[in-house]
Amino acid sequence: MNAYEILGISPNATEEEVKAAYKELSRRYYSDASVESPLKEQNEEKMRQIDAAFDEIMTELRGGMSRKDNYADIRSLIKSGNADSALARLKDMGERTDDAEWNFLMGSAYYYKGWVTQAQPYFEAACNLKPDNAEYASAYAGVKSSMSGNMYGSPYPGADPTGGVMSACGPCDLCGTLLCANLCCNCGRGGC
Amino acid sequence: MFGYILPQKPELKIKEYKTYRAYYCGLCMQLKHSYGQACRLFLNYDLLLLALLYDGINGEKCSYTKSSCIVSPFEKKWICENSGGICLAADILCILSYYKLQDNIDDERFAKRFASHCGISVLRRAYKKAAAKRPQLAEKVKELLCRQALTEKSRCSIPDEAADASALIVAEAAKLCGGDEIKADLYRFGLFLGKLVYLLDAADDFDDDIKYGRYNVFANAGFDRGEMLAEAKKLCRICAAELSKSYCRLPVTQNKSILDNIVYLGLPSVIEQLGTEKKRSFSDYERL
Repeated sequence: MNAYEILGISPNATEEEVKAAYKELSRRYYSDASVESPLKEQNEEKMRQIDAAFDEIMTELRGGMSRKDNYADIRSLIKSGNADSALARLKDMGERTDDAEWNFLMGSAYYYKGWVTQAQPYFEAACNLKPDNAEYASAYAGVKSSMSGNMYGSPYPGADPTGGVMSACGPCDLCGTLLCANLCCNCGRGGC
Repeated sequence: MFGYILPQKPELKIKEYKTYRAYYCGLCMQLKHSYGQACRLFLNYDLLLLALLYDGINGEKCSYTKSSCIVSPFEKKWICENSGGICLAADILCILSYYKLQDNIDDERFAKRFASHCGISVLRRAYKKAAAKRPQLAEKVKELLCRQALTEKSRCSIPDEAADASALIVAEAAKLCGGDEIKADLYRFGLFLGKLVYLLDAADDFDDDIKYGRYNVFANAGFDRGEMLAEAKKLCRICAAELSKSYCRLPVTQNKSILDNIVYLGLPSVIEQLGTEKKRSFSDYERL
């Protein structure tokens, strides 16, 4: 669960909404945590989570940018060709391996630099975290296709990388070839 | 004759083969005319791809003349002239050769260092001329080769990182092949082309580099020969796949069949032949 989910708010929430959600939750759990009850320990644990989530979101907001804006910013950095600064900023955020968007952007930045093997695990993680996201899925599929060495737009169907274009040789072709060869032989003197 | 980026000759039509040869001779002649006899020694096949691509995209009509040359004084050969692509390739070749030699002086042994000193004195004037013509490229190449030297000093063991500078150099050169609207595709095409050549070169030099204690990214990653070949081939195939994604979006109107041959047949075949003795098989009985 990420910080927003713990507080039960959307990632676009304003500072007021975050505070309101925090107040509401802490009223509920503090009162429960203070009385002796079978759920005391559970409530205390929950309260710790809420405090941590509140701190995280507030530092992000006070830092001038929410996580979402931050990601949008990094996205445009990658698009404009600044993959290196995008990577630096993503790394500054810490290893958010459980955040699909963070993984996706890490993958995209590496991919933009042309470091395909580095990009692959991040795209894979993003896909595993959010399997229904079409953007992540297509990025991962593209990388997987390259990893298997598929070339795009080749006008040579069935090209064999080791030597020229393979010609399909079915039984009919074989017969035809033999007939032709025989014909040639007979035309020349003696033949085979 | 060297180079990794070659067409697969048996699959070329005769007219395509003749055009390719004429480009090769054309580049050699261009080096002679613009930069002097000595520069012809640095001729190689790899940059012909960029020459063909430039003319293919810009629809340059070149003229073909027949003449003899030092290498074949008796037989006259077709030579491609007045081609923007060939001019570009000649400029790039001078800039790259100059820095390559400078690099050799820094980290090669005595004999080669001596040869590099001689080469550099020959190339200096040519380099100045080429750099004056393409100052941005020369500046970029210089900066990126410094970066390359740093990566090597740090004994980097990640192929992607080690190949980065080379990849970016070719990307910068490839960008010159077309207008702004296709710059992104050209850049990416060059990026993977440069990376591919770097990796092929590193894999080819693997044994020698270990023998002479030189830096080699695959050796640094702790691979033995078998693992190195498997890894190098895998990475090279990725490069070929990625560059084909950009290549097929480029608006090539001329030389398309030759370029297709190089990209879709030539590159995969060089990758597959990595690590094997370069003996002639029937299918490539005469590698150009």
